[in-house]
Amino acid sequence: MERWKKVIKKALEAGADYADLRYIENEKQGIRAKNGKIEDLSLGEDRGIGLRVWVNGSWGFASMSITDDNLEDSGKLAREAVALARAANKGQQPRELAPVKAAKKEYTTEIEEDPFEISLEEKIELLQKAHEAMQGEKIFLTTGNIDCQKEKKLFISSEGSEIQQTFYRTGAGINAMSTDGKDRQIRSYPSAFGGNYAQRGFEFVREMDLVREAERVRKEAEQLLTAEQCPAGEMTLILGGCQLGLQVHESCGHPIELDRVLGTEAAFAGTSFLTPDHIHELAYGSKVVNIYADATIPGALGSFAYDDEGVSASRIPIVREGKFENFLTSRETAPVLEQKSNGTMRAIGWSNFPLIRMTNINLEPGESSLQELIKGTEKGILLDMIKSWSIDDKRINFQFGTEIGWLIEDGEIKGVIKNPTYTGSTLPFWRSCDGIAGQSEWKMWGVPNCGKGEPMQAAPVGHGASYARFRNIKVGVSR
Amino acid sequence: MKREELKKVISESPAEHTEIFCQKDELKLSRFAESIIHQNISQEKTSLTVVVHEKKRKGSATTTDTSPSAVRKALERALEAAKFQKPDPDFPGLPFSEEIAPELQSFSQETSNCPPEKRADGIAEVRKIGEREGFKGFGTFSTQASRYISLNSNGNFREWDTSQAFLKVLYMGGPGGGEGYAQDLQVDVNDIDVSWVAEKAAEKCAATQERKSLEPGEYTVILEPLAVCELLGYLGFIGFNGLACNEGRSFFSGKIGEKVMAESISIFDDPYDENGLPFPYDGEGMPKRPLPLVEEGVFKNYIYDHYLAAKEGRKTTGHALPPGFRSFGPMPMHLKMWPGKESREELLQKVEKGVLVTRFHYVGVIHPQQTIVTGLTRDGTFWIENGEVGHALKNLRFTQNIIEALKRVVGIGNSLGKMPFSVGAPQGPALVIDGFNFTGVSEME
Repeated sequence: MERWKKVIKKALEAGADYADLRYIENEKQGIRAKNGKIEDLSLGEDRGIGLRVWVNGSWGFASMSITDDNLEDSGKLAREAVALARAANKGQQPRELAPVKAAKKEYTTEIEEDPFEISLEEKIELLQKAHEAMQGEKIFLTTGNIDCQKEKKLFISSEGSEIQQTFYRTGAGINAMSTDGKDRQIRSYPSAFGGNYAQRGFEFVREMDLVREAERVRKEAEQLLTAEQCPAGEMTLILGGCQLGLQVHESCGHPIELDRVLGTEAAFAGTSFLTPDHIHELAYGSKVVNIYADATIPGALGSFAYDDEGVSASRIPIVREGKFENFLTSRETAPVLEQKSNGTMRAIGWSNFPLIRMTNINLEPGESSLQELIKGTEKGILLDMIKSWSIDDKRINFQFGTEIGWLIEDGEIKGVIKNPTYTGSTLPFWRSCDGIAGQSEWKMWGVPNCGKGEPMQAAPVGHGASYARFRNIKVGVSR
Repeated sequence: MKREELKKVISESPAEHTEIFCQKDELKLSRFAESIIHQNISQEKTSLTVVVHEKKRKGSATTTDTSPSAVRKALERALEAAKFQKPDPDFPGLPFSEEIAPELQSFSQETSNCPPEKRADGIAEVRKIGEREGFKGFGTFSTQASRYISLNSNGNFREWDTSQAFLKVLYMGGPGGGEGYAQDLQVDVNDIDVSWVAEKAAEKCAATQERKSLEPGEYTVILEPLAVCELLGYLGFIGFNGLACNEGRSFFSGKIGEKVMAESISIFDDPYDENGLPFPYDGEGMPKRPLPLVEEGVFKNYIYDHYLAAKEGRKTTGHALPPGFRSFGPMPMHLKMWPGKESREELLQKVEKGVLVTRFHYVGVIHPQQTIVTGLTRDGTFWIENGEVGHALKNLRFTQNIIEALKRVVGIGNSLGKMPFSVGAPQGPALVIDGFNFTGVSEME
């Protein structure tokens, strides 16, 4: 701690108006199985510091790995970061950061089983058993993975904050690919692209019961080969929680990032259709739509005690009864709205500059149920499990594909469909929502790799969702 | 860590086979919005991976600490990980080659030493040109220098440097809220022509002030080089990917010698091309070399790393990724579609009615084996009528089979563009393609 305080002091001496520093130690373990064989078993460690300084209204940032050989070099970062801030200062007006109360706190993820204490042998055996349970005549490829991370992060600032946080992140997933010689299909569990992740211990993986679910994954992967193609046209769409989480992520989570609204991602990921004057004015969705950004949910992947500016975590209404309420903000951007920061600045690892990131962006549970949503559907489809995604640079036009779908006719499931896709525009889509399933079907989905920024930073974020129904949606768009 | 120390770790390793891959990146990057730098960073990052094979059991460990004690600790962790593996009967041993890659202009000291003031001056120039037109500039100006060391217990040792400088400019503004984009990617930062990039972006922004909606459907398109590069990059990832081919997941699986695209299309992987981002060795330290993938529309070659090549009784083509990424399979990082002979005017003359696309955004793969992707146009989409560029269009969503599109190429531009892609830097010319499938329009309501 004292060593890093000296770096802050040097930054102030070099001319910084404000400085903060993150010292991070990371431990990672990743196991990837393919067709029952462990293809990659990697153990990773890294540690380093990132120093951010504010000089006359501009940021400078410098980072370096910390090794046993270079501990004394960290002082040079102060001079470099201040020089970068000064170089950035051309054309910039002096500005104030939103105030934050200095904090001295510690936080550690609550876990039942330390994932690093579980033997590699046990984890490998679990993946191999899941592979065996996915075996079938038409299955040609299975994969499985278990990932654990322990991140120890110290944040100190020139305003007196000293915050030590320790995060455990654990995740796992399996999938099976099937073929009949002509077509190929895939089914995943509990989510696609690596599974589901949480800020929990190994108990999270045990609760997934990968081996039991593997049998269903195999069956559905084979079933998809002979399934009907997704119908094309306009109809009612019901989304399952996994896909709905992605829908929230892309069409709500990203557009509400205030840095993005102000153009800082414009040439990369794009901007947003939202503007500050939409607050309390814009009908984002129908009356049943309530969305919150909540960094305080225990165990959720996007939770924390303090963000990377030392602002405490909060629960923020984003859409209330359909009306747009607020953005995700930082100390730099919040003054644009005449607000204090709501604490969503995060950097990935020690080497990156913090950005406004989603926390846990959740579609709150409604009062319906999946059965009721299906029953109230004359002609439609139920889709789930992320397969492909794309959305425009203003977050308006989207198109998603899912692994599987079910045809609904006259209030009943009629059969499985394959290669489903749907497309739409963000506002009409959310305004067409007429039913959301309740708390008992609501679940958190952890996404470990939300991409943003240059250089790209893959952030852990979360989305809570149950099932939701949307009317008159264009489906079956592919070629 | 010095090379001699790394060699010592290898020589003292108790494992039958040991490999070390070390990459040090020094990234300096300025991001700007409304023509002001909002993020100015210096990032120094080293990643070292130790891979061991003991009785055909593999284990690996990574660290960012390259001090001798930390590398030895990583070796111990890799050995520990290997104990829990089952033997891999296909493990062929580690590669070795005496072949030295040719001297390539892959590194510039000027890029490595580029001070923040040079980037700030470039961005000030972007601001100046934008202010002249009433536009605000958004983008990135970055320089990166990388050092790679690859060595193994088979005696293979390589050490090489690369650099890249990248400027991209998006102008927004004007009475109709236009958007125009241009970029430049070079090994040497002194080759970045800031004014050329800014003027090109400003020209597009001025031309996109009033944007009209276009009914979705099939249209003849001119894809400018950046749009072609994006499709090429995806084709590399889902199509030419050696593992996908080997596992039957690629469109190209089992298709060597088959005509798969228009006869006018030839695609190489060319790591030696100094107009691209040249790269001498792959992630196993094996020499890279140019390889034809599609010649006159016919699929010619699979790509391999050492492991996959040995499995098929062949030799590596120098396409291995570094150890931490090898599960993705061997990947082409220097895709180059051969340019044609036609000027921009001649390409336009081939289009009676159609769409001109500057670049794509957020491409997603719908069906990897069928090479069906979806995405949107952005920063300059125009209607073409009777061979002339007309009014600007609202951004369009496309859903298109890449291979089918490349079968319907009716014109190829005579110059190449290039762009950084997640794996490498593809180069491509402008293409005229018939029957390109637009499936939506980006409109608020």
